[in-house]
Amino acid sequence: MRAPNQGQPITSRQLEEWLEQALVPVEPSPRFSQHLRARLVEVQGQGPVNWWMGVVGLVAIFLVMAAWLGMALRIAFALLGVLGLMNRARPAASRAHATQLARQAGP
Amino acid sequence: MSEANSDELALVRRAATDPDAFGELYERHVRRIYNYIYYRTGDHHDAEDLTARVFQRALRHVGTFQDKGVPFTAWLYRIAHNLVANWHRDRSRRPVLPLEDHLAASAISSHPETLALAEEEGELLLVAVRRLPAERQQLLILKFVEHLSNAEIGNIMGRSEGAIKSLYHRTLASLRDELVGPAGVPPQAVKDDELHDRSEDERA
Repeated sequence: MRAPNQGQPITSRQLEEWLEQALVPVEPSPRFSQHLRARLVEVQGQGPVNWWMGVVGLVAIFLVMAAWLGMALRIAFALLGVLGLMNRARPAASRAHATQLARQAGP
Repeated sequence: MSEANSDELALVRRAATDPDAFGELYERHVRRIYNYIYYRTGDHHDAEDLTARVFQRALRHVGTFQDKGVPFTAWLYRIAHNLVANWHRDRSRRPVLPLEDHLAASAISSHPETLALAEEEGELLLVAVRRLPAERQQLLILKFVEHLSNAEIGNIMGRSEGAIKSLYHRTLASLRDELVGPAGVPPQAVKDDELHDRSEDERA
């Protein structure tokens, strides 16, 4: 049905007929519908995290922390070793002087 | 509660944890939600995007749906309405894109000029519809696209059947004013059946 020209009176019946022709059901594309459904069902199907996944997560965190702790201990021991080496590397003279002073002081 | 409603309610309850149940709900409602959004936005791509968001939001909150006398359909339409309103607000500063080519299924004639003219007039009507308030747009979409009765529309929109009928007459009047043009129609040019419709509006 051709719509009446603008400026001419339009009856309710004519308007309803015009709306019937213009407002018709539109189909979404099948690809969109199927893809969206698959995505929604997949998200829904994932569900809450399983308990064993939680355990695996905790173990992984523990291992990482242990690795970092081990690294920290190794660094600390290395520093202690370096300090020990530095002590040993002091000149023998300074050690002899220290011994003489100790003898003069007497028992 | 009717059997169909109780069946749907049971499906909604299962959908919170059962993917297949939600899939079933999706199949039942995707077309009507898509249609509603398409006619509110006028663009297929936007309609697809917003439809996806409607169902993603519905999926997140389906477990909280409570039957307070409002059907699940109305709940979905409310989500769609809110998302479309946000969409319009976000696009309020951008120019409105023309509607895509989609009009009446049956062309008046195969003559290109007639088809082009019919398309232009159809676009004119749809643009006028989209200028109406959201509530009136929803009413027209539910009535003409979904072919729902006033009672069913009232159930979805949370109004009585009488209120829907009254709103419908006011909507047609507003739409007619939009289409007639800025000059308007002189009162004496109004036809008899239009006068009859207006008197019905006043009584409603």
